[in-house]
Formats: sequence, C-alpha cells, structure tokens
Amino acid sequence: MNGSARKKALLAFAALVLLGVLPFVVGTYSIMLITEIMIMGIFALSFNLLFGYTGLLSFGHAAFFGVSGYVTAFLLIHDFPSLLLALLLGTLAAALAAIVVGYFSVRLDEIYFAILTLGFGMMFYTLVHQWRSVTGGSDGLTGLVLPSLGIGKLSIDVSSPKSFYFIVAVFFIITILVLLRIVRSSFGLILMSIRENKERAAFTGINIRAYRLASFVISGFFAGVAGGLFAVFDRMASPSMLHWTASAEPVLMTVLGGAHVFFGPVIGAILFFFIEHVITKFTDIWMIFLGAILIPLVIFFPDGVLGTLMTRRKKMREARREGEE
Amino acid sequence: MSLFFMNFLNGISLGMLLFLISIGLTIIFGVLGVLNFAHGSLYMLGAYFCFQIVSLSHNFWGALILAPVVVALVGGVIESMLLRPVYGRDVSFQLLLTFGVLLVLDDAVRLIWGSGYHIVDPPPLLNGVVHLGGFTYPVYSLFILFLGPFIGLGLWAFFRFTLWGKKIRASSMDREMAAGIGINVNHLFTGVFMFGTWLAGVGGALAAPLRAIGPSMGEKIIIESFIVVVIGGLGSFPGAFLGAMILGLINAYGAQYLPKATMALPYILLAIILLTKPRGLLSKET
Amino acid sequence: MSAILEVKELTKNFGKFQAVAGVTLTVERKELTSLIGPNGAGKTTFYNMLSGKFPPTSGRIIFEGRDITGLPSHKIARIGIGRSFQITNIFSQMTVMQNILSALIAHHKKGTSFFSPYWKDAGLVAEAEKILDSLGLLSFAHVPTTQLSYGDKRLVEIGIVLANYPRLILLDEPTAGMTPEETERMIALIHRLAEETDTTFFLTEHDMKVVFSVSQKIYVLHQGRLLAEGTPEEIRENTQVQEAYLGGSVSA
Repeated sequence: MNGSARKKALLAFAALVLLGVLPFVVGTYSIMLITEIMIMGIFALSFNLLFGYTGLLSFGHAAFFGVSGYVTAFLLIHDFPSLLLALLLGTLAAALAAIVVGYFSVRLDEIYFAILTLGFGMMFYTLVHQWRSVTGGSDGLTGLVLPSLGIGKLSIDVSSPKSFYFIVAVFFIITILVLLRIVRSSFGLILMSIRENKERAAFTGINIRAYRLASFVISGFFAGVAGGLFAVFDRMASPSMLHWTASAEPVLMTVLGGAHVFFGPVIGAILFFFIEHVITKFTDIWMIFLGAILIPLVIFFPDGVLGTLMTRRKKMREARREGEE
Repeated sequence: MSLFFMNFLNGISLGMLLFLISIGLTIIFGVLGVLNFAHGSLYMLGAYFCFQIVSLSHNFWGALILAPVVVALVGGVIESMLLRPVYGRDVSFQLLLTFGVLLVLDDAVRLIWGSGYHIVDPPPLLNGVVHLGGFTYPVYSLFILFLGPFIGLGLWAFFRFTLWGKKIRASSMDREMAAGIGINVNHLFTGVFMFGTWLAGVGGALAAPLRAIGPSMGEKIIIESFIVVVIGGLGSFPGAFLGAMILGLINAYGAQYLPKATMALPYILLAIILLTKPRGLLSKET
Repeated sequence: MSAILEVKELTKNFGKFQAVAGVTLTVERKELTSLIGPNGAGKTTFYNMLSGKFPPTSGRIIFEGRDITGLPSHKIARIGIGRSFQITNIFSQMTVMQNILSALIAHHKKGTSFFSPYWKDAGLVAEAEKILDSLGLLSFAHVPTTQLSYGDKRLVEIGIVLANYPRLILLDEPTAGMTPEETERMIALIHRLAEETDTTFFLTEHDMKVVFSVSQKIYVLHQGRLLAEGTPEEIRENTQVQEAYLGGSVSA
C-alpha cells in the first residue's frame, strides 16, 4: 500500500468512526440534522453521477426523489408491514420513472436536456398535486406508520431519531461504496468520455444514448433511495418534494462542493445545511445568503469548495516535488 | 359561446404578457448565449417597483415608465459585474449563476416588501369593466391586449430599421463576425441584457394591476417563459410570439375544458415539441 | 486486390445546396488512397457520410461487401471503420492513458462492467501501453491531454482510432495545422502503420506534398463531383485538376 492509499484508508476509517460516535455525543436536534444531511447527500451524489460524470445537467431530479417518497409514504400509510420493502418499492418506482423520463431526455443536450427534465419533473409535480384521491393533493400524505425493522430475530424501533440515524448511515455508506465503484469502473470511464467528447465517443463505437440512459436510471434509482428515506424521516410526502425548486437543491449542493470530485456533493450538502442552519437562527430569509455565496463561487471557484482545495493541494505537491528535483 | 370568446381574450392577454417577458429572454439568449434564470425575478422586480412608485406618488403612468428603467439598471449591474466573467464557460455555469441571482432577488424582495401580497389599482382611465355581448370584461385586460401588438410592432421596427437593432441581429447570428466588423461586444452585451431586462420590467409593471404581487410570482413566470421560448425556438423573435400565444390560450382554454389537467398541459406541450422539433417550432435546423 | 469500400452515386443535399453530387469511387484493400479537392469541395461532408455522422440523401456505401448506408456512427465504428477529424477531437480532461483505454473498452465491449476498476484490467492496460509505445507517447501516459503539444494531441487521436482496430481508417486532414517537423512525423507514422498493420488508409489532405508522398491512388473532388482519379503521376498531369486548384471555375 502506498502513502496516498494508506492516507485515504485512514481518512475513511476516521469518517466511519465519527459517523458511529456522533449520535452518542450530540443532541437529538443535531442527530436529526446529520440524518437529513446524509439523505440529501445521497440525493446530491445521485445527481452528480449524471452531472459531474456524464455531463448532463438535470433540472428535474426531484421527480425521482418525490416518486419514491410518495410510493414509500403511500405504502406506510396503508399499514405496509415492512419498512425496508416499502423503501425498496419506492426506489424501484423511481427507477422506473427514470427509465421513462430518461428514454426521452437523453436524446437532448445541454440547455435542452435541462429544460426537458425540468418539464418532466413538473409533470410529476402536477400529477401528485392533482391526483387528490391517491396523493392527498396539496396536503400530501401524512401520518406514516413506521413498522419496526426486523433483521433476523433482531427488531429495531425506527421511530427514535438515533436508530433512524443509523439506518440512514448504512444507506449512505452503501450508496457511497456503490457509486464510487461505478465511477471508477470501465462503465464510469465511458461515461466520462461521453462527457468530454460526445462525438469522439460515438465514433469510437460507443452508443451514447444507451450509456446516458444507464447513467440516468442509476442516478434516478439513488435519488429514489434518498426520497424514500426522506419521506420516512419527515413522516410525510408533500408536493414540494417534486417541485423544480427541489430539483435545484442537489444542483446547488453539487456546485458548492464541486462536481468533479466524488465527495464534492457530500461536502456541498454539509455546507448547504450549515449555511441554512446558521442563518435561520437569525432570519427565515436565508436563500439570499445562499445566492450570495453561490454567485462568487460560480465566478471564482468553478470547481467548488472541495474541488478547489484538491487542486490547490495537488499543485502544492507538484511544486514541492519540482523543488526537490 | 360567450365563455369561449372570453377565454380567447383571457388567453391572448396572458399571451401578450408572456410575450413581453419571453422576448427579453430570447433576445438575451440569442446574443449572449445565456439562458437567464433570473428573468422572472426581474419581471417580479418590475411589478414591485411599480407598486412602490404608485403607493408613493399615486401615478401609475409614471410608474410604468420609471419602474422598467430601474429594472434595466439592475440588469446592467448583473451583466457587467456577474455574467461577464463566465462567458465562454459551459452553459451550466451561466444557468447556475443566474440561478444565484434569482435566489438573491427573490429573498431581497421578501426582505424589503415582506412575504404578503400587494395590489396595485389600475389607473382611473382603465378602471372598471366593459360589456361585450354576453359578458363583462375588465378594461385593463383589454388595454394589455391592445398594447401587446403595439409593443411587438415597435420591437419589430426597432430590430428592422435602427442601427442598434441591426447590430443586435447581426451579433445574434454570428458573435465573432460582430466583433470583426467593429461592434464593441462588451457594450453590446450590456446593452442587450439591459434591454431584455427592461422588457421584463415593462411586463412586470403592466402585470402589477392584473395580478397579486407576491414573492413567488417570478418563480412561476420563469418556467412559463422558458416553455414559451423553447417551444418557439430559442433566440427566435416570431417564435417567442407564437409560443406565448399558444401558452396563453392553452392556459385559458385548459381552465375551461380540462380543469384537472390544465397545470400539466404546458409541460406536456413542451415535451412533445422538444422531442419532435428539438430546436423549437420556428427553427430552421432539424 | 479486392475492394474494401465501394461508394455508389453518393449524394448529400443541404436544403437546395448539393454538397456531394453522385460520387462513385472504390478503395482497394491496403491501397493508400487520398481524396483531395479545393476548399468546399465536399470532402468532409463525404467523410461524415462514410462514418455515419449523418445519412446520405441518396446512394450506397458498401464496406467489405456489406451495405452500411445510413447506419449511426457507433455502429459503423464497431463494424470496422475508424476516423480522425480535421480539428483534433479527443477526450480533453482525461489522461492520455484514459483516452486510449476508453476506446479499448468500447472495442472489447467491456463498458457494461459496472464494478471492476478499469485500471486493474492488466490485459487492457498492456494493450493501451503497446499502442502508446508505437506512437511514441508512452512517457506521457498519465499526463492530462490538455498539457500536450498540438502534434501530440493529434497522435492521441490516432491512438484512439487504432484502439478500435479498424480495418479502414479515414483521416481527415491529418497534418492540418502541424509544423513541418510534426508533418514529417505524421507522414512517417502513416507509412509505418500502413506497412505494419492490415489497415487500409483513406485520407483527405490539403497539403499536396503530403498527398503525393503517401498516396498510391488519388480521387479529386470538385464542387461535390468527382473530377478525376488516378495515380499521383496521372493527377499531377491532369489539366482539369490544375485548373480547379488555380481557382478557375471548371464546369465539369
């Protein structure tokens, strides 16, 4: 194992320990805040497979987040016996929606892709808004009944913030491991080559639409994981989960943290909630600050906070190496 | 029958407003290559400025002249200070930057005027209703209806016959060529952005007596005007007109015939057009 | 000798403008063939149809006896036709190695392995190293392509094309924008690859020196039509060709 790999392993280990210890150190409010950050982190990571790695800016990703949230909530309202199965069905519904939306959307590029996904997202929004008998209309679905989580003989009561924290943490870690593996695979390299140069990729024998669709569906799937967890976390599903302004949130987080670094969206999610948390102590009007942070970030640090830090470090290391030679 | 006719008028007058907003959006895209996410917020700003001026001076006509000018100044600041550094980068950066501007403007409005709704009365001249066959119709809506074509014609003449109009059209066709024949691109971009935001401001000020003024009015209209410019063809002048009329009529008749689906109709239309004519109805590319 | 590529009456209209008008030609296997013509003659349009960037208005394209007319570009690439572009066309934010690897992954249909890290595929990496070595790029393997010189970027593009192991390679002005030294290097490389591999080269070129030094057979395109064909000597002597290049409007 070389130095950098050992450093990375140590860092991962430290992060795991931190995740495990935190809920025993901080209060309930913080536990819930971190839970929400992890859920939104999953959402932002899923979005970035499409944006950062495939080069497609989706402005309708809340559709998959919301579809999963609604399916999960719908099942749990109707006394569905298994939490995990409800989450799974919600996530599969999101993936199914992503297959349909993706099938059409991946034909387009850039702004047109962004607008079309936005349009599809809003179609889902109007659907849950209007289909009162199933979705509860603008009130959404409330009053989720959480069955206890049975794993083997072990039964966990998920309604306590601490145990739900750990469930979300497990999903968070699984999402990271799976997506990390995907972006570093042969498939991931092909996605990146499509991002870099669609035309060259096509003339190399790559079926652009098929790969984009695969990326879109995987991305929708994990957005679904986040959406289901969010509905459980909030004990409700509401139309605002699918509104285009909700689609903007993973975009903001990703840009805050950095789209070309794997963990950028997670850092972005932490910053996003940190900014919200600090500012809402003084005033409800916090988006103005988010905007005021976003604008200089886009102008001066297009790689995001984590991305910029990483390039700085790399440059310093290179400079040091050159100095030694 | 009279309901049908009334909805026709409603659709056209809504279309005229959408046209004013979309035309600015499409001109900015055509020349600068930027899809301005903050355009709806600038429209909203026009409405708020109008409200503010009217409540201070009780002069609607003065507000109608002044409010858009102030909006255009805000636009000038946005273009020259914020947008200029990100030209030439990926389009998503420009979209995100203007999205940041949207967040700032929307909350700034909340900070200054609060989260509640405000109302502006139409000027006395245009207050009241007229009887048209079987129904009554607000005079102010008719005013918008008739004003729209005049503004459209005025813009057409501006682009057709004035030097600035020709410069703008030339640059929207070929930016490099424009620089080559000695057009100061920086000035042109600022000018075009201000012009586009001025139009948004005019739309906002005109809409002020028509709609409740609230902090979410930009959020709604920006999506509608995105749809207008995309179905018409991004950067296309007649496209914006066609798109605005279609969307206005869809909204009006949808409410009459398909009340449940009316919210979804614009999005369905958007998807169908993007998938069959990806560059919009009035584009020559296939 | 047998034909690897047969083009019959190929035509492309853009609205009323006829960019390519009924061109019929044959490329023999292993015969270095060039397509030349003044600017706007329709060479790139012709190439774009061969490689599937857009379908022809009419006419047929037969590759190794198989009709490939109108197939999308990724299918044509799979069948065995590779191409380079007039303006360098590579994966810019990736390393040289990643550029070659992604083409290899596409070629070996390994793009569907979602979970195995590509750099751990020793066979694939060895193959990429071999290609880079043959281009003299091995020492740059882990350098991002943005840091390469112009000539080296063009070589990376050739490497991407080679990694697909095509039987026919279309080179669209391979020496455009190159310094004289880089041009020499490119000519030598084309000669070497033509000898060492089974690949047939079909190129367009602006630089007549390059054309006459590498080609065994030349086709001349003018205003979308085939003006002449023959060996370099024949083309050099052809008065029609001379007129076309001097800018006189030749009515064919």
